[in-house]
Amino acid sequence: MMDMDNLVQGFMDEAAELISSMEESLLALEANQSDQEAIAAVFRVMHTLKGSGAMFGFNSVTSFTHLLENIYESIRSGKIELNEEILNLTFESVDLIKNLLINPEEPQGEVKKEYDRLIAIFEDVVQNKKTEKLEETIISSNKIPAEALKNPTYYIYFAPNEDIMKNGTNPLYLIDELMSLGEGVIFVHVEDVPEFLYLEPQKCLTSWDIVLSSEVDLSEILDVFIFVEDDSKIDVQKISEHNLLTEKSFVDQLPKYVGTAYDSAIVELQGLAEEIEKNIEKTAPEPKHIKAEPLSQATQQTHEESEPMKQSAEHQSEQIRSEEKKQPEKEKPSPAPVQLGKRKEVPHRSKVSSSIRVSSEKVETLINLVSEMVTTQARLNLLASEQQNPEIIEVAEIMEKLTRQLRDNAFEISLIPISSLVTRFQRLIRDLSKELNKDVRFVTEGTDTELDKTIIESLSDPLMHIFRNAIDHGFESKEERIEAGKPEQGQLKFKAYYSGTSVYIDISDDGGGINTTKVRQIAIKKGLIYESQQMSKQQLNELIMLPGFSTSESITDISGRGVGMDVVKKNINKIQGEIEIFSEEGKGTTFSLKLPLTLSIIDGLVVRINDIEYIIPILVIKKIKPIKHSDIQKSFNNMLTVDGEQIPFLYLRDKFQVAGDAPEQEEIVVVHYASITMGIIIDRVIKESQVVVKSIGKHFHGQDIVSGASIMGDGTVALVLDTNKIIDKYSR
Amino acid sequence: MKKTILIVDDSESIRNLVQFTLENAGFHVLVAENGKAALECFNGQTIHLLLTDLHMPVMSGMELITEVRKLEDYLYIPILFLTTETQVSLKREAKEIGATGWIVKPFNADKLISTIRRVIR
Amino acid sequence: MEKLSSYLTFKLGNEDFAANIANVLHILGVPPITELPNSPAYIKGAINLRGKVLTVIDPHYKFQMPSQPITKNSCVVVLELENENEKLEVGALVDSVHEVVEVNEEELLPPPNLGSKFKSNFIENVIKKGEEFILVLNIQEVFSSDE
Repeated sequence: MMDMDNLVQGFMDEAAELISSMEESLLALEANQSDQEAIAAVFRVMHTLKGSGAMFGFNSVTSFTHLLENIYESIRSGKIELNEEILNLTFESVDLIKNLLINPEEPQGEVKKEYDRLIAIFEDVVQNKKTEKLEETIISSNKIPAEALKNPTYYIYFAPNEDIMKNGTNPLYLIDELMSLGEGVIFVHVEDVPEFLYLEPQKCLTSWDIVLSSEVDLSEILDVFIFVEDDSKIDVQKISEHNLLTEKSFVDQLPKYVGTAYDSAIVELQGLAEEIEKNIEKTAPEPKHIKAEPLSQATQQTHEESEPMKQSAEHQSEQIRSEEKKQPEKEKPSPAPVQLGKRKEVPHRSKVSSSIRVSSEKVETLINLVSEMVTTQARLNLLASEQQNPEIIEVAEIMEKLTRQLRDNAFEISLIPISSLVTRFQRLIRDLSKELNKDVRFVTEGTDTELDKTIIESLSDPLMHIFRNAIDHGFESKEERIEAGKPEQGQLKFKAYYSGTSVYIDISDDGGGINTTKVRQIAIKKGLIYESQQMSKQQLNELIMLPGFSTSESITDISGRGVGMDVVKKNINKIQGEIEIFSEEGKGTTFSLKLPLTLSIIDGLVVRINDIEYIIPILVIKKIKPIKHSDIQKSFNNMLTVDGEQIPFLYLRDKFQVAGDAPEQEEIVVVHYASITMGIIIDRVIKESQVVVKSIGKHFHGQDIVSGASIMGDGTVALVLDTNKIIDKYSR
Repeated sequence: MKKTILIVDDSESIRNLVQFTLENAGFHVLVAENGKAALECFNGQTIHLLLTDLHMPVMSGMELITEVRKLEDYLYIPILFLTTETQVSLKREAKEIGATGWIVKPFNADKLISTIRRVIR
Repeated sequence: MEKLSSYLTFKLGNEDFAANIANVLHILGVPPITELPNSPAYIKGAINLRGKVLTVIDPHYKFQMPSQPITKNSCVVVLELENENEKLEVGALVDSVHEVVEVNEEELLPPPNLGSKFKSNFIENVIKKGEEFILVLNIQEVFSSDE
């Protein structure tokens, strides 16, 4: 369901993507100014925006990008050298374009000022005499100022190039089009067409003489031949201001005159026309010229008119014959066109596959349906095995395979890599560091980690704030760093990784760390804690996330007005995430965010302790081994030997305080997390299953070894174990 | 019978706009985002007109036109190219490799349709 | 004009309690409850409610009553709470459900001082129906996630 609004929105979305990729290229150019690919990429974006901008009504975008396109083309061809100034200006231009894209109307106020400013500077910097005024690129019909006369007669001689049909042109269609402009007579010349035997059907050896009377003026007639004028012989002349075709004498004599000429019969016809006209004047006054003028004067008028016409006609016919030039009327109102070089080399995009945009609501619906399907399919499995009907079992198995594929696919659709977010930040960090005079290197890891789109969007603000904080408060000044024996350049690291069914994002700086003493003092001063309160270092660190807390004496513009870490925490919690702060004074600070994958449908291993089922994500499992209960009892220091390897283990029956006696034979599921391996001992492994992980609700947030719950095939609830947290919690 | 037009442009918004305009004018529209994808459409199905941008990744409009003119089944179909350039040399070049005509961007709906009607069989 | 509100009455042990019907979403029989390991005593476990995982709370603990075995009369009353501007659903395990009563303004009395038997902020009002007293629970207080 497309309508104009959707189309415009589509353009704006596309433009935003283009700009984003352009920023990436600009950042690359900052690192290496001779990066040809990046230059070409910037050019391409400007070129595309120029073309599509005006199509969707964003004329200011087109004007501005046109300018930049020229500049980058000049850089590309070596006429201008890229330097820091141009690069900075380009960054500023990007911001301007973003503003121009907000609405198609002409820019006003601040935006207009910026627009004018940048245009002036660019023109200066480049000193490019060839800078065009924006061409009037819409084909408008260039009408000769309309003379009041109607229905003039035109003579058209059309001898198409013999290869004209090879580019898909059908000369008959052109003739049709001509004739639709008025009324006329056509004379075909087939003298050059060979006998049938020698006939080459794809060659056009026919020519036409046409006398046309029409209301339209010359340019419109010439327009018909717009695509073929270069290689065909075309002669279009007005031979009378009147419609001579109403004159029998004219029509009767036409074949004779047309037949005698080789090529264009213009001269002959002009002669004929004059004659006829004289006769007309003699016989009766033109119905259209209702003047009480003496006849002689009328004739004189016509004669005078035909004089200048003849001259211009001759001028014209010379021009039409030549293949290079165009008629003056047809020239677009533009100065010398800019030579953009010959065949352009287009830089290859890395993605060849075509893509579509899908609304996130549709994706969400899809995911919900798929997850219900997974759950229902588990029930089917159960019923199938109970029924013991081999056919149904087979179908159930096929359903399971299909469901698994569908779920993988649907899931992938809804995830986008976090790199989309990170690119935005690179720009911000660059700008901030410059502004605050801190030398900061931004390093990223794991940016291909994928997250649900809505989560990524909700992360944008909190992450931005954390970055701001780090650059503003985290990093010491260059002098302080040198004094402390640190490298002058600070490092700000962004790391994303999966763990269990969560995504972790760590933002670390090697700055000065959180000054816990200062924090404590401020907290006391603000009445957030009591003086006598004992707090661990961790708790002190996290004080900065309390509402009403701020270590800056003044709330600087950079960190936002009063938007504190508490808002960050709130926003993270809103998306079911958690945030922790780790910091060491003098060394640096790490903000660690833990985020859910909104909907996880995972491959899980269903295990049992007593009659309660738990699920361990298959991803983390290394191996499974049977183990005797007696071996566990004999173990020393919570270590067991499995396959010749000593690994620590966790006995869930104990940890979960499960009642009842342990079975003699149990199983150990060896899982890993980062570099740590651990064994988790349960009673029995039941089966593998696709599992829809659902959040377990707020009541349970105190318990963190469970990352979610799942509805099993029989409708009961099973708990999904967060093995990473388990390892974390119990391995120290 | 509806005529089929294939529009090739790497800008999705332009493809959408052209498709919208032409479908409203009673044409059946196929889309492709670059020359290579467009070529795959010339597999025997009936296409009455090719409308292509010139600057595209993977395979440019010029290359596409050249390739299409090599195909026997499509030797004479009208080909229009979209361009923001107005210099003569580019038009000549495109004409030489077999383009029928051109449409200058930005264009309005009427101009697009009338130009297409001018050349389509 | 008398204002009428509706309340759902139920039993915990021998005591009658009520909850404002506006907060009641569903009433179910008790499905299999999955225990949540290492959870506080008042959290009974988790159940499957039409594909959603719901936490079930045993209110007996909140009132220092001994918990009761689950019988065929036991029900899970699904309640809707508000927590930090978010709507939250929670299940309450009750021994039996009685009926929905309509109560007019005069029948709704402020909570009495019940001494140390119950935490006073758990009780919002008291309904006086003839000779009987029914304690109206303050859902937010009783079922929110704090200790």
